[in-house]
Amino acid sequence: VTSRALTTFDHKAVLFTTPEEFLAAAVPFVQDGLSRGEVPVVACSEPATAWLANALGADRVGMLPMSGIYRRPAGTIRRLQDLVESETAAGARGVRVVAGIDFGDEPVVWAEWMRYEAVLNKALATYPLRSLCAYNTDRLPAEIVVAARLTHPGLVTATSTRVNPDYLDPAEFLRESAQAGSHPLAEGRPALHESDVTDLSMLRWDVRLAVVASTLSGEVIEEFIVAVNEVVTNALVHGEHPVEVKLWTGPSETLCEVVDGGSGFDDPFAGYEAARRAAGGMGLWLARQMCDHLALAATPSGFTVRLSIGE
Amino acid sequence: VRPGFADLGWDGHLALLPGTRQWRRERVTHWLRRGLDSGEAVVVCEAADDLPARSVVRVLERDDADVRAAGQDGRLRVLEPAEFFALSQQIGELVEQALDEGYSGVRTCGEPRLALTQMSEREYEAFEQMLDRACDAYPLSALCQFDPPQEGDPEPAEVHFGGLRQRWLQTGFSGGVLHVAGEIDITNDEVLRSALHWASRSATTSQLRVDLSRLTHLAVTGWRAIRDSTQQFRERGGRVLVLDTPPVVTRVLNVLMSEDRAEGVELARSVS
Repeated sequence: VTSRALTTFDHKAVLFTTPEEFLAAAVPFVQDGLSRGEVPVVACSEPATAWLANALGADRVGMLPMSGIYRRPAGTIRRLQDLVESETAAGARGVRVVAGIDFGDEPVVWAEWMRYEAVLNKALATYPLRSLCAYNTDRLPAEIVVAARLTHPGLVTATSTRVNPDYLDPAEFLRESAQAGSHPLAEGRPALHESDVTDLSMLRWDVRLAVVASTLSGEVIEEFIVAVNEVVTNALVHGEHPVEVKLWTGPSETLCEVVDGGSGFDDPFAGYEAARRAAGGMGLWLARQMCDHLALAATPSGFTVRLSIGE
Repeated sequence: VRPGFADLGWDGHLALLPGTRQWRRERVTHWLRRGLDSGEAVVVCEAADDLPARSVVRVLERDDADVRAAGQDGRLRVLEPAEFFALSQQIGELVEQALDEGYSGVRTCGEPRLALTQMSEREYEAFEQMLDRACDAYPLSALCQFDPPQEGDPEPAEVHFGGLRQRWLQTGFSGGVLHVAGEIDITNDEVLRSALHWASRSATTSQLRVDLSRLTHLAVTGWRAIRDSTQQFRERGGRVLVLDTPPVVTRVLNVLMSEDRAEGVELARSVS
């Protein structure tokens, strides 16, 4: 078989209800990759991984542990970039990933991973990677399945591979997603409210005091403080005063809202990739990896960043 | 010192970097009480014509009975710059005399601003070097209070080898290791830059060890300080070993270094 080397990202979804439907799409996807000199990798839930291992032979595909790969979207993107870079440096013609995101139970986390699927189209655009993203339409909430149709340029079924007519430009998807609704926690009285932050050190201390009674682990709290610090630093340095910070704690989630008086910036991809030369690029990128959810939006109150963390 | 804030100690040759007036007052008071409680002779330089806001010890002597008593019985002496810096030139004799009188050591406190009314910049740098050696050789502690820097001022670390102390962050250099304690963010990353510049320029081996075991917060700007301030050292083949980082600092550095690779910077554990 002669084939051209893969040079760009190929991003498709398989929507299925039974293991047979999933395997009918995934097995040829992996076999085709093997025949082209592309490295197959599986990053799926346990059942899907087992189905594939049985069908293909466990030694034919690499496995990425779910807990490591799907911790935070910005970190996942970095991992995939590293994976492709190392495999191609070792001589592979590309990488094929059968991906099954662990969306978890929290709608706010679903939203973050739905955005991740849109961001991939830009962040991995120049990487020789094919991703087949598995969506069990019987098990996943309807809004996740709808988002899958909006964020994947291609759709695969047992019998066909086709261009997805519903695919939305990723920037447009991200802008619409960022505007979606208010947060239930934000309806209540904040555990911390600082209307004009000037002292970062004291703010970090106050955030720690506000969340210390929660059920979050010490490590998660410290990571969240790092994220809040970077977002507030960006507001102080690049936004306009005053910088207001509110923090709410719920039974399973802690939410922080940072508002500055400026108009902010319009980059729906901000913080998903490290931008060393861009103002605040590394800070937002770090913040995204230190919390579960981070969304930016221009609101009537000013430029608003919401970040949250769960157990 | 708030709970959780690591402290490298208050003895030896220290630079107190600019902070708020209240912060400065708290630190000088803490430093002074430590000396009096340890049975040291305390000699402070303050100019009588300064505003009360600057004259921390003179105000304490007026308002605090314990400090006033120490002033009355000679355990605390507040001197004008001319007398203080003349006396400081014979610091060895001063310490010997205090020990003969039964004190456990000597504690001095001055300001580079006042020193420069008595000596040239070059003489001042030599004076700081002399203090550095004297603090190692004698039971002597010296606290130098820096003002916010003006253009052209020397970096505190260039004239101050023992340690830098800023609000929530302090550095100290001992045994070939730069120790950093506290928190680093955009308000104080210059302190770290200053200390790293000096430490990497002064390194006598190809390895610079930076102990972050007592660092509780590292912002992106702190990583940039480590990266940039050691760049020339690393370009000459030097390695920077960042030692004993706590879990959250380790995670921050691993994330940042995965993207922003700086050749020659490594995370490591110190060998105990």
